[in-house]
Amino acid sequence: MMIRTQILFPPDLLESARLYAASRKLSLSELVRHSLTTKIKPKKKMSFYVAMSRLSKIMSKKKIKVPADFATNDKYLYQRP
Amino acid sequence: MILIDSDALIGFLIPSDPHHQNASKLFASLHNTPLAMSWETIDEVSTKLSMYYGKDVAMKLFKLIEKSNVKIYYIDAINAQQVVKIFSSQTSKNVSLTDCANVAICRSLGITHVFSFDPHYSQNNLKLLQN
Repeated sequence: MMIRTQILFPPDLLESARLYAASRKLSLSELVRHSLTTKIKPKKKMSFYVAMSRLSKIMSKKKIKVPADFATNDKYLYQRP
Repeated sequence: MILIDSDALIGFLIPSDPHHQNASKLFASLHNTPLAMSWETIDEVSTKLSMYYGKDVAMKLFKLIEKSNVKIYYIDAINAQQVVKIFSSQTSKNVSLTDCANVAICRSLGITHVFSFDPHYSQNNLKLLQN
């Protein structure tokens, strides 16, 4: 499925784009799609386990002691250490 | 898909936590499993970390979540009504609105298992991950 949208171009760029597309037997839409596809690549996501392991290491360096029930007790949401 | 709750995540993050060993084993076993978290859980974890470890750690949490493959779910106006219904049906006053939001998300997505040590989820027909 394609979605119609509007893009504003400076006149010079539009002319260059049309010429470039024509020289390669592409429509302007095809050229824009192809250009954006190569420019915008989805970033590969790291595993959440790896991400949280990194955070755990950063936290460990701070050497902060927390209460034993810190993870389970909601009172620490509002209670300052 | 498995939903992660704040107690399990914090338990994993802090080596001195009583649940740390169990949380680490369970979390490591999920490396090929799609994981989900509610915005409410992120709220709880970031607030606690900010209070005790500093805002920089909370900001690092946000950045790492963004870079990771965990899927975040948000409560909208429609499922907020469901959250309130679940909240009103709880017999224990210790079940938070965040817990109820997590239950609502699980029900709407067909998630059956929660990575948590909170028995309230079992009472809401969800299964807790176990070793």
